Amino acid sequence: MPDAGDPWVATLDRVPAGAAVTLHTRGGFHLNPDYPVSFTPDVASTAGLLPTRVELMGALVKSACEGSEKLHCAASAPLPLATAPEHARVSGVLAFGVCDEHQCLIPKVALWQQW
Amino acid sequence: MKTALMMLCMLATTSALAAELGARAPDFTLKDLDGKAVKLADYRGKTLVLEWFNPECPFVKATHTKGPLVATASKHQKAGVVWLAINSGAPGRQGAGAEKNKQAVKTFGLTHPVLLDESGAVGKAYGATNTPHLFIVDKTGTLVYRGAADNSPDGEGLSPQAGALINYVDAALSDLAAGKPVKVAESKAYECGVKYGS
Repeated sequence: MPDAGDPWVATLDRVPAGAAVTLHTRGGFHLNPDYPVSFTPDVASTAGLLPTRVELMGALVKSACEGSEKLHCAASAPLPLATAPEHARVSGVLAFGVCDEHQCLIPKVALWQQW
Repeated sequence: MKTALMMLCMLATTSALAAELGARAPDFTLKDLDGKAVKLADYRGKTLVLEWFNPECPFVKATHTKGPLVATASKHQKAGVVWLAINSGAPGRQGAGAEKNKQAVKTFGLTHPVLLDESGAVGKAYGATNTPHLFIVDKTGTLVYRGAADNSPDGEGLSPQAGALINYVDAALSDLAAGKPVKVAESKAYECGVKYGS
């Protein structure tokens, strides 16, 4: 569950093609374009995910921050599931970077969904 | 004419101060965390690593606890390399001040001194933009490398760009130790910006 005080919201959702992770920043933070967004499935994940860390940078669809053309405040990427998660658990750690004008943070957020 | 001459003088001064690869590294005197003055000129004749540092930057934490700077300085110090961390954070900004940096020396197990550059003058002279941002000066006083510690912008060595993980600092110091030119002399520094005052 996202903490209301965190400058981000990260979710894992079912989509027609399988599953996707979505990021939103808040409180003046934006996505760090240099930090490699990744998802590392954990041992409890049963959805046929790749067994190791999955780089998502190339798959991210980003949305610009309000009033900015250069900075992005939201992004989404599909997870490359080998099988459709019909009755499965998708779980793991999403790593990403966010910054504001004062600092950068590199959260690692545990996400899971049971279908 | 007078204005043109003044402009030329200003350009020359700027050029002399700015760090350029292949040129003499700008000299400086800074104080360490105990107030002792440290002069770059005192290390002429030795290979020197300058590491821009901010103990509260998460990438500095990652590089020193999981990534490319874990025990790297101590390894090269044993081979005679001088390693200096420099914090160009202005007073009141993230990671600035002697106490925070003294704590970081203990937390990260640093074997090298941290110098304070609160005015930011040295950081700006070198063009330091990020933490960590590494600069290597060879035995002749020439700047021979500037950039990231490695090619993994997560600070943990988990995301090498374009193939295998490369520790640029290790590689450059190995080249110098072998009497060779530094193969990769520049790379893109990543992550936290230096917390200059202006």
